[in-house]
Amino acid sequence: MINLKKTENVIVLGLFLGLIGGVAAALLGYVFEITKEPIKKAQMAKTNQALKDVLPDFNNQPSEEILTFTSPDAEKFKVMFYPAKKDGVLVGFAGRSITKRGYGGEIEVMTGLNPDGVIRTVIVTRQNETPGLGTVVTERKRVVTIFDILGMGKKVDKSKLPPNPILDQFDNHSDSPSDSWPKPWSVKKDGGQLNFVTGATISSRAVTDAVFRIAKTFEVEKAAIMLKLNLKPETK
Amino acid sequence: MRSSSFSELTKGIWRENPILALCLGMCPTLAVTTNATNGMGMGLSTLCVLVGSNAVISMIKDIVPKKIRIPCYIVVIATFVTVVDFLLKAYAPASLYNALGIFIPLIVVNCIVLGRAEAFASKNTVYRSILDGIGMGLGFTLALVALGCVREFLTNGSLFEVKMITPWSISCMLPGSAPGAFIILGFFLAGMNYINMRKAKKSGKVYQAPPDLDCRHCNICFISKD
Repeated sequence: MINLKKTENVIVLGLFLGLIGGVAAALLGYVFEITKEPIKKAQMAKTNQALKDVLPDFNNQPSEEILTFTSPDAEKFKVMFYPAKKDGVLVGFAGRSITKRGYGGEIEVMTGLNPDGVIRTVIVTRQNETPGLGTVVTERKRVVTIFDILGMGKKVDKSKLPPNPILDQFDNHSDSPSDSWPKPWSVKKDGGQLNFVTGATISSRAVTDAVFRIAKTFEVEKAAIMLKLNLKPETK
Repeated sequence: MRSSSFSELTKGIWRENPILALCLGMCPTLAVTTNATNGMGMGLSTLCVLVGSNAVISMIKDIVPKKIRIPCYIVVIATFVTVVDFLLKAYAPASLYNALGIFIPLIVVNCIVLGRAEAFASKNTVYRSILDGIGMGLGFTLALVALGCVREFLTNGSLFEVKMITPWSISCMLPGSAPGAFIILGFFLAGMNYINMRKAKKSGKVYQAPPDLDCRHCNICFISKD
Protein backbone atom coordinates (compact mmCIF):
# COMPACT_ATOMS: atom_id res chain seq x y z
CA MET A 1 0.00 0.00 0.00
CA ILE A 2 1.47 3.31 -1.00
CA ASN A 3 1.18 6.34 1.23
CA LEU A 4 -1.00 8.63 -0.85
CA LYS A 5 -0.30 11.64 1.27
CA LYS A 6 3.45 11.55 0.72
CA THR A 7 3.72 9.91 -2.67
CA GLU A 8 5.89 11.49 -5.32
CA ASN A 9 5.06 8.95 -8.02
CA VAL A 10 3.97 11.00 -11.02
CA ILE A 11 1.59 8.34 -12.29
CA VAL A 12 -0.21 8.09 -8.94
CA LEU A 13 -0.41 11.87 -8.73
CA GLY A 14 -1.81 12.08 -12.27
CA LEU A 15 -4.35 9.35 -11.61
CA PHE A 16 -5.46 11.06 -8.42
CA LEU A 17 -5.93 14.39 -10.11
CA GLY A 18 -7.79 12.62 -12.90
CA LEU A 19 -10.06 10.96 -10.35
CA ILE A 20 -10.87 14.28 -8.67
CA GLY A 21 -11.55 15.84 -12.07
CA GLY A 22 -13.79 12.91 -13.03
CA VAL A 23 -15.88 13.16 -9.85
CA ALA A 24 -16.19 16.94 -10.33
CA ALA A 25 -17.24 16.49 -13.97
CA ALA A 26 -19.86 13.91 -13.05
CA LEU A 27 -21.31 16.18 -10.37
CA LEU A 28 -21.38 19.15 -12.73
CA GLY A 29 -23.04 17.09 -15.44
CA TYR A 30 -25.73 16.05 -12.98
CA VAL A 31 -26.40 19.61 -11.77
CA PHE A 32 -26.39 20.86 -15.38
CA GLU A 33 -29.04 18.30 -16.28
CA ILE A 34 -31.36 19.17 -13.41
CA THR A 35 -31.04 22.93 -13.82
CA LYS A 36 -31.28 22.92 -17.64
CA GLU A 37 -35.06 23.27 -17.73
CA PRO A 38 -35.36 25.93 -14.99
CA ILE A 39 -32.58 27.98 -16.64
CA LYS A 40 -34.36 27.83 -19.98
CA LYS A 41 -37.61 28.81 -18.27
CA ALA A 42 -35.95 31.71 -16.46
CA GLN A 43 -34.54 33.03 -19.73
CA MET A 44 -37.90 32.61 -21.46
CA ALA A 45 -39.57 34.43 -18.58
CA LYS A 46 -37.14 37.29 -18.99
CA THR A 47 -37.90 37.64 -22.70
CA ASN A 48 -41.62 37.27 -22.08
CA GLN A 49 -41.57 39.97 -19.42
CA ALA A 50 -39.80 42.31 -21.85
CA LEU A 51 -42.37 41.48 -24.53
CA LYS A 52 -45.24 42.14 -22.13
CA ASP A 53 -43.69 45.50 -21.25
CA VAL A 54 -43.55 46.76 -24.83
CA LEU A 55 -46.55 45.12 -26.48
CA PRO A 56 -50.31 45.49 -26.11
CA ASP A 57 -52.29 42.53 -24.82
CA PHE A 58 -51.44 39.36 -26.76
CA ASN A 59 -52.15 35.68 -26.37
CA ASN A 60 -49.82 33.94 -28.82
CA GLN A 61 -46.19 32.95 -28.21
CA PRO A 62 -44.23 35.70 -30.03
CA SER A 63 -40.87 34.08 -29.24
CA GLU A 64 -41.90 31.05 -31.32
CA GLU A 65 -42.61 33.08 -34.45
CA ILE A 66 -39.52 35.28 -34.62
CA LEU A 67 -38.74 36.88 -37.98
CA THR A 68 -35.06 37.68 -38.38
CA PHE A 69 -33.65 40.24 -40.81
CA THR A 70 -30.32 41.88 -41.44
CA SER A 71 -30.29 45.62 -40.92
CA PRO A 72 -30.12 47.61 -44.17
CA ASP A 73 -27.02 49.57 -43.13
CA ALA A 74 -23.28 49.06 -43.22
CA GLU A 75 -23.13 47.23 -39.89
CA LYS A 76 -25.49 44.41 -40.89
CA PHE A 77 -26.74 43.54 -37.39
CA LYS A 78 -29.48 41.05 -36.77
CA VAL A 79 -32.89 42.62 -36.22
CA MET A 80 -35.58 40.35 -34.84
CA PHE A 81 -39.30 40.95 -34.92
CA TYR A 82 -41.66 39.17 -32.54
CA PRO A 83 -45.19 39.29 -33.96
CA ALA A 84 -47.85 39.62 -31.25
CA LYS A 85 -51.34 38.42 -32.00
CA LYS A 86 -54.54 38.48 -30.06
CA ASP A 87 -56.97 35.75 -31.11
CA GLY A 88 -55.11 35.46 -34.42
CA VAL A 89 -55.23 39.18 -35.21
CA LEU A 90 -51.91 41.00 -35.45
CA VAL A 91 -51.73 43.66 -32.72
CA GLY A 92 -48.08 44.67 -32.94
CA PHE A 93 -44.45 43.72 -33.16
CA ALA A 94 -41.58 43.75 -30.75
CA GLY A 95 -38.37 44.64 -32.54
CA ARG A 96 -35.08 43.64 -30.99
CA SER A 97 -31.62 44.72 -32.08
CA ILE A 98 -28.25 45.83 -30.80
CA THR A 99 -25.78 48.63 -31.24
CA LYS A 100 -22.07 48.50 -30.58
CA ARG A 101 -21.77 52.23 -30.02
CA GLY A 102 -22.50 52.19 -26.29
CA TYR A 103 -19.96 53.53 -23.84
CA GLY A 104 -19.62 50.07 -22.32
CA GLY A 105 -19.91 48.12 -25.57
CA GLU A 106 -23.10 46.53 -26.77
CA ILE A 107 -26.56 47.79 -25.92
CA GLU A 108 -29.60 45.70 -26.76
CA VAL A 109 -32.93 47.43 -27.13
CA MET A 110 -36.46 46.19 -27.59
CA THR A 111 -39.14 48.37 -29.08
CA GLY A 112 -42.85 47.77 -29.24
CA LEU A 113 -44.25 48.63 -32.67
CA ASN A 114 -47.81 49.02 -33.84
CA PRO A 115 -48.66 46.90 -36.89
CA ASP A 116 -47.86 49.93 -39.08
CA GLY A 117 -44.39 50.36 -37.56
CA VAL A 118 -45.08 53.28 -35.22
CA ILE A 119 -43.07 52.94 -32.03
CA ARG A 120 -45.07 52.33 -28.84
CA THR A 121 -42.42 51.86 -26.19
CA VAL A 122 -38.65 51.48 -26.04
CA ILE A 123 -36.83 49.50 -23.39
CA VAL A 124 -33.17 48.55 -23.04
CA THR A 125 -32.80 44.84 -22.36
CA ARG A 126 -29.02 44.56 -22.04
CA GLN A 127 -26.44 47.25 -21.36
CA ASN A 128 -23.13 47.86 -19.66
CA GLU A 129 -23.15 51.65 -19.32
CA THR A 130 -21.62 53.70 -16.52
CA PRO A 131 -23.86 53.47 -13.43
CA GLY A 132 -25.39 56.86 -12.69
CA LEU A 133 -24.57 58.41 -16.07
CA GLY A 134 -25.19 56.09 -19.01
CA THR A 135 -27.83 54.21 -17.07
CA VAL A 136 -29.89 57.41 -16.82
CA VAL A 137 -30.47 56.93 -20.54
CA THR A 138 -31.08 53.19 -20.47
CA GLU A 139 -32.90 52.45 -17.23
CA ARG A 140 -36.57 52.64 -16.54
CA LYS A 141 -36.46 52.50 -12.81
CA ARG A 142 -39.14 53.28 -10.34
CA VAL A 143 -37.60 54.93 -7.31
CA VAL A 144 -38.89 53.34 -4.14
CA THR A 145 -38.71 55.63 -1.13
CA ILE A 146 -38.96 54.91 2.55
CA PHE A 147 -42.39 56.57 2.50
CA ASP A 148 -43.67 54.03 -0.02
CA ILE A 149 -42.72 51.21 2.30
CA LEU A 150 -44.44 52.91 5.21
CA GLY A 151 -47.49 53.36 2.98
CA MET A 152 -47.31 57.15 2.94
CA GLY A 153 -46.08 57.69 -0.61
CA LYS A 154 -48.04 58.60 -3.69
CA LYS A 155 -49.93 55.80 -5.36
CA VAL A 156 -48.26 54.69 -8.57
CA ASP A 157 -49.68 52.53 -11.34
CA LYS A 158 -47.47 49.45 -11.17
CA SER A 159 -48.83 47.96 -14.40
CA LYS A 160 -47.24 50.77 -16.41
CA LEU A 161 -43.53 51.07 -17.12
CA PRO A 162 -41.73 53.81 -15.22
CA PRO A 163 -41.11 56.80 -17.51
CA ASN A 164 -37.72 57.68 -18.95
CA PRO A 165 -37.62 61.04 -20.76
CA ILE A 166 -34.96 59.85 -23.23
CA LEU A 167 -36.53 56.54 -24.17
CA ASP A 168 -40.04 58.03 -24.26
CA GLN A 169 -39.04 60.48 -27.02
CA PHE A 170 -39.31 57.74 -29.64
CA ASP A 171 -42.96 57.01 -28.89
CA ASN A 172 -45.34 57.63 -31.79
CA HIS A 173 -42.57 57.97 -34.36
CA SER A 174 -41.59 55.69 -37.22
CA ASP A 175 -39.28 55.62 -40.20
CA SER A 176 -42.14 56.00 -42.69
CA PRO A 177 -41.91 58.96 -45.12
CA SER A 178 -44.93 60.57 -43.45
CA ASP A 179 -43.10 60.93 -40.14
CA SER A 180 -42.00 64.45 -39.28
CA TRP A 181 -38.51 63.59 -37.98
CA PRO A 182 -35.51 64.06 -40.29
CA LYS A 183 -33.66 60.81 -40.99
CA PRO A 184 -31.47 59.28 -39.77
CA TRP A 185 -32.54 60.17 -36.25
CA SER A 186 -29.86 61.86 -34.22
CA VAL A 187 -29.42 63.76 -30.96
CA LYS A 188 -29.51 67.55 -30.78
CA LYS A 189 -25.76 67.73 -30.29
CA ASP A 190 -25.32 66.19 -33.75
CA GLY A 191 -27.87 68.56 -35.29
CA GLY A 192 -30.79 66.20 -34.79
CA GLN A 193 -34.08 66.47 -32.96
CA LEU A 194 -33.64 64.24 -29.90
CA ASN A 195 -32.86 65.37 -26.38
CA PHE A 196 -29.91 63.71 -24.71
CA VAL A 197 -28.44 63.44 -21.23
CA THR A 198 -25.50 65.76 -20.66
CA GLY A 199 -22.52 63.62 -19.76
CA ALA A 200 -24.04 60.59 -21.42
CA THR A 201 -24.09 61.72 -25.04
CA ILE A 202 -22.51 58.47 -26.20
CA SER A 203 -25.18 56.35 -24.52
CA SER A 204 -27.91 58.62 -25.90
CA ARG A 205 -26.48 58.30 -29.41
CA ALA A 206 -26.18 54.53 -29.06
CA VAL A 207 -29.79 54.08 -28.02
CA THR A 208 -30.92 56.33 -30.88
CA ASP A 209 -28.80 54.26 -33.27
CA ALA A 210 -30.34 50.97 -32.12
CA VAL A 211 -33.93 52.24 -32.15
CA PHE A 212 -33.49 53.79 -35.58
CA ARG A 213 -32.04 50.51 -36.85
CA ILE A 214 -35.21 48.70 -35.83
CA ALA A 215 -37.48 51.39 -37.29
CA LYS A 216 -35.56 51.47 -40.57
CA THR A 217 -35.42 47.69 -40.89
CA PHE A 218 -39.16 47.55 -40.36
CA GLU A 219 -39.74 50.20 -43.02
CA VAL A 220 -37.51 48.41 -45.56
CA GLU A 221 -38.74 44.89 -44.82
CA LYS A 222 -42.40 45.74 -44.22
CA ALA A 223 -43.60 43.86 -47.28
CA ALA A 224 -41.48 40.82 -46.46
CA ILE A 225 -42.75 40.75 -42.87
CA MET A 226 -46.38 40.91 -43.93
CA LEU A 227 -45.75 38.28 -46.59
CA LYS A 228 -44.21 35.94 -44.03
CA LEU A 229 -47.21 36.41 -41.76
CA ASN A 230 -49.57 35.83 -44.69
CA LEU A 231 -51.02 39.31 -44.39
CA LYS A 232 -51.46 41.88 -47.09
CA PRO A 233 -49.21 44.92 -46.76
CA GLU A 234 -51.11 47.84 -45.37
CA THR A 235 -52.03 50.42 -47.92
CA LYS A 236 -52.28 53.97 -46.80
CA MET B 1 -14.58 22.38 23.29
CA ARG B 2 -17.86 24.21 23.20
CA SER B 3 -16.36 27.65 23.64
CA SER B 4 -13.57 26.87 21.20
CA SER B 5 -15.93 25.79 18.42
CA PHE B 6 -17.97 28.89 19.10
CA SER B 7 -14.86 30.97 18.59
CA GLU B 8 -14.23 29.20 15.25
CA LEU B 9 -17.59 30.56 14.23
CA THR B 10 -17.16 34.09 15.51
CA LYS B 11 -13.54 34.77 14.64
CA GLY B 12 -14.43 35.38 11.00
CA ILE B 13 -16.91 38.07 11.93
CA TRP B 14 -14.53 40.45 13.67
CA ARG B 15 -11.05 39.31 14.71
CA GLU B 16 -10.18 37.60 11.41
CA ASN B 17 -12.75 39.28 9.19
CA PRO B 18 -11.76 38.30 5.64
CA ILE B 19 -12.02 41.83 4.26
CA LEU B 20 -11.28 44.11 7.16
CA ALA B 21 -8.58 42.09 8.91
CA LEU B 22 -7.18 39.69 6.33
CA CYS B 23 -7.69 42.01 3.34
CA LEU B 24 -8.54 39.05 1.12
CA GLY B 25 -10.85 39.06 -1.87
CA MET B 26 -10.54 42.74 -2.66
CA CYS B 27 -11.58 42.31 -6.30
CA PRO B 28 -15.20 41.21 -5.70
CA THR B 29 -15.37 43.46 -2.64
CA LEU B 30 -14.68 46.64 -4.53
CA ALA B 31 -16.56 45.64 -7.66
CA VAL B 32 -19.91 44.47 -6.27
CA THR B 33 -20.48 46.77 -3.33
CA THR B 34 -22.03 49.57 -5.38
CA ASN B 35 -25.21 48.84 -3.46
CA ALA B 36 -26.14 46.85 -0.40
CA THR B 37 -28.29 44.31 -2.25
CA ASN B 38 -25.43 43.24 -4.51
CA GLY B 39 -23.07 43.02 -1.56
CA MET B 40 -25.48 40.74 0.24
CA GLY B 41 -25.95 38.49 -2.80
CA MET B 42 -22.22 38.18 -3.38
CA GLY B 43 -21.59 37.54 0.31
CA LEU B 44 -24.19 34.81 0.56
CA SER B 45 -23.02 33.05 -2.62
CA THR B 46 -19.47 33.10 -1.29
CA LEU B 47 -20.75 31.75 2.04
CA CYS B 48 -22.33 28.76 0.27
CA VAL B 49 -19.16 28.05 -1.72
CA LEU B 50 -16.97 28.47 1.35
CA VAL B 51 -18.97 26.08 3.52
CA GLY B 52 -19.16 23.47 0.76
CA SER B 53 -15.52 23.64 -0.23
CA ASN B 54 -14.29 23.71 3.38
CA ALA B 55 -16.36 20.62 4.20
CA VAL B 56 -15.21 18.62 1.18
CA ILE B 57 -11.57 19.64 1.51
CA SER B 58 -11.39 18.69 5.17
CA MET B 59 -12.99 15.35 4.22
CA ILE B 60 -10.40 14.56 1.56
CA LYS B 61 -7.44 16.14 3.33
CA ASP B 62 -6.04 12.78 4.44
CA ILE B 63 -5.92 11.21 1.00
CA VAL B 64 -4.87 14.17 -1.14
CA PRO B 65 -1.13 13.92 -1.98
CA LYS B 66 0.69 16.93 -0.62
CA LYS B 67 2.31 17.68 -3.97
CA ILE B 68 -0.93 18.25 -5.82
CA ARG B 69 -3.16 19.55 -3.04
CA ILE B 70 -3.58 23.05 -4.50
CA PRO B 71 -4.87 21.85 -7.92
CA CYS B 72 -7.21 19.45 -6.10
CA TYR B 73 -8.56 22.26 -3.93
CA ILE B 74 -9.06 24.45 -6.99
CA VAL B 75 -11.06 21.71 -8.71
CA VAL B 76 -13.27 21.31 -5.64
CA ILE B 77 -13.81 25.07 -5.36
CA ALA B 78 -14.46 25.52 -9.08
CA THR B 79 -17.05 22.74 -8.95
CA PHE B 80 -18.88 24.39 -6.10
CA VAL B 81 -18.79 27.77 -7.82
CA THR B 82 -20.19 26.35 -11.04
CA VAL B 83 -22.96 24.59 -9.12
CA VAL B 84 -23.85 27.86 -7.37
CA ASP B 85 -23.77 29.61 -10.76
CA PHE B 86 -26.21 27.09 -12.28
CA LEU B 87 -28.52 27.27 -9.26
CA LEU B 88 -28.56 31.08 -9.25
CA LYS B 89 -29.23 31.14 -12.99
CA ALA B 90 -32.12 28.75 -12.55
CA TYR B 91 -33.78 29.92 -9.36
CA ALA B 92 -32.60 33.43 -8.39
CA PRO B 93 -34.54 36.54 -9.43
CA ALA B 94 -33.33 37.86 -12.78
CA SER B 95 -32.20 41.18 -11.33
CA LEU B 96 -29.91 39.47 -8.80
CA TYR B 97 -28.35 37.24 -11.44
CA ASN B 98 -27.83 40.21 -13.75
CA ALA B 99 -25.95 42.02 -11.02
CA LEU B 100 -23.88 39.07 -9.82
CA GLY B 101 -23.49 37.10 -13.03
CA ILE B 102 -20.01 38.25 -13.94
CA PHE B 103 -18.71 38.01 -10.37
CA ILE B 104 -19.76 34.44 -9.64
CA PRO B 105 -16.95 32.88 -11.73
CA LEU B 106 -14.56 35.17 -9.87
CA ILE B 107 -15.28 33.33 -6.61
CA VAL B 108 -13.07 30.54 -8.01
CA VAL B 109 -10.02 32.74 -7.68
CA ASN B 110 -11.28 34.54 -4.58
CA CYS B 111 -8.41 34.32 -2.13
CA ILE B 112 -10.76 33.78 0.81
CA VAL B 113 -11.96 30.42 -0.43
CA LEU B 114 -8.54 29.03 -1.34
CA GLY B 115 -7.01 30.71 1.69
CA ARG B 116 -9.40 29.03 4.11
CA ALA B 117 -8.94 25.71 2.31
CA GLU B 118 -5.16 25.86 2.66
CA ALA B 119 -4.91 27.55 6.05
CA PHE B 120 -7.79 25.93 7.88
CA ALA B 121 -9.76 23.15 6.21
CA SER B 122 -6.68 21.13 5.27
CA LYS B 123 -5.66 20.94 8.93
CA ASN B 124 -8.95 20.67 10.83
CA THR B 125 -11.93 18.37 11.19
CA VAL B 126 -15.02 18.58 9.00
CA TYR B 127 -17.12 20.01 11.82
CA ARG B 128 -14.69 22.79 12.63
CA SER B 129 -14.11 23.53 8.95
CA ILE B 130 -17.82 23.99 8.36
CA LEU B 131 -18.01 26.34 11.36
CA ASP B 132 -15.02 28.24 10.01
CA GLY B 133 -16.69 28.47 6.59
CA ILE B 134 -19.92 29.81 8.07
CA GLY B 135 -18.05 32.31 10.23
CA MET B 136 -15.81 33.55 7.45
CA GLY B 137 -18.74 33.70 5.03
CA LEU B 138 -20.82 35.69 7.49
CA GLY B 139 -17.92 38.05 8.16
CA PHE B 140 -17.46 38.54 4.42
CA THR B 141 -21.19 39.13 3.94
CA LEU B 142 -21.40 41.62 6.81
CA ALA B 143 -18.40 43.56 5.55
CA LEU B 144 -19.80 43.64 2.00
CA VAL B 145 -23.22 44.77 3.20
CA ALA B 146 -21.69 47.48 5.39
CA LEU B 147 -19.53 48.75 2.54
CA GLY B 148 -22.47 48.51 0.14
CA CYS B 149 -24.74 50.46 2.50
CA VAL B 150 -22.24 53.29 2.91
CA ARG B 151 -21.50 53.51 -0.82
CA GLU B 152 -25.13 53.31 -1.85
CA PHE B 153 -26.20 55.87 0.72
CA LEU B 154 -23.49 58.33 -0.28
CA THR B 155 -24.28 57.81 -3.98
CA ASN B 156 -27.98 58.56 -3.96
CA GLY B 157 -29.30 58.47 -0.43
CA SER B 158 -30.82 55.03 -0.61
CA LEU B 159 -30.34 51.75 1.23
CA PHE B 160 -31.15 48.35 -0.30
CA GLU B 161 -32.50 50.31 -3.29
CA VAL B 162 -35.02 52.11 -1.10
CA LYS B 163 -34.62 55.85 -1.07
CA MET B 164 -34.17 57.09 2.51
CA ILE B 165 -33.84 60.80 1.85
CA THR B 166 -36.39 61.84 -0.73
CA PRO B 167 -35.09 65.30 -1.66
CA TRP B 168 -31.75 63.69 -2.68
CA SER B 169 -32.14 63.94 -6.43
CA ILE B 170 -28.62 64.25 -7.83
CA SER B 171 -26.50 61.15 -7.56
CA CYS B 172 -22.94 61.59 -6.40
CA MET B 173 -20.62 59.59 -8.64
CA LEU B 174 -17.51 59.11 -6.52
CA PRO B 175 -18.64 56.59 -3.87
CA GLY B 176 -20.20 54.40 -6.54
CA SER B 177 -17.08 54.22 -8.67
CA ALA B 178 -13.86 52.26 -8.15
CA PRO B 179 -11.77 55.11 -6.64
CA GLY B 180 -14.54 55.82 -4.15
CA ALA B 181 -14.59 52.15 -3.23
CA PHE B 182 -10.89 52.29 -2.31
CA ILE B 183 -11.36 55.46 -0.29
CA ILE B 184 -14.30 54.11 1.69
CA LEU B 185 -12.56 50.78 2.24
CA GLY B 186 -9.61 52.76 3.61
CA PHE B 187 -11.88 54.43 6.14
CA PHE B 188 -13.26 51.04 7.13
CA LEU B 189 -9.78 49.60 7.68
CA ALA B 190 -8.71 52.67 9.63
CA GLY B 191 -11.81 52.44 11.81
CA MET B 192 -11.22 48.75 12.45
CA ASN B 193 -7.59 49.38 13.47
CA TYR B 194 -8.60 52.31 15.65
CA ILE B 195 -11.12 50.24 17.57
CA ASN B 196 -8.67 47.38 18.03
CA MET B 197 -5.91 49.72 19.20
CA ARG B 198 -8.15 51.53 21.65
CA LYS B 199 -9.31 48.22 23.04
CA ALA B 200 -5.70 47.13 23.50
CA LYS B 201 -4.73 50.41 25.11
CA LYS B 202 -7.58 50.20 27.60
CA SER B 203 -6.32 46.83 28.78
CA GLY B 204 -2.78 48.19 28.94
CA LYS B 205 -1.37 46.31 25.94
CA VAL B 206 0.04 47.22 22.56
CA TYR B 207 -2.07 46.16 19.62
CA GLN B 208 -0.54 43.51 17.43
CA ALA B 209 -2.07 41.61 14.56
CA PRO B 210 -3.15 38.13 15.69
CA PRO B 211 -0.11 35.85 15.35
CA ASP B 212 -1.90 33.45 13.01
CA LEU B 213 -2.55 36.23 10.51
CA ASP B 214 1.00 37.27 9.75
CA CYS B 215 3.22 36.13 6.94
CA ARG B 216 4.84 33.28 8.85
CA HIS B 217 1.53 31.52 9.17
CA CYS B 218 0.74 31.44 5.45
CA ASN B 219 2.75 28.94 3.47
CA ILE B 220 1.44 29.53 -0.03
CA CYS B 221 4.79 31.12 -0.92
CA PHE B 222 6.61 27.96 0.13
CA ILE B 223 4.64 25.47 -1.91
CA SER B 224 7.50 24.77 -4.30
CA LYS B 225 9.96 24.30 -1.47
CA ASP B 226 8.44 21.32 0.32
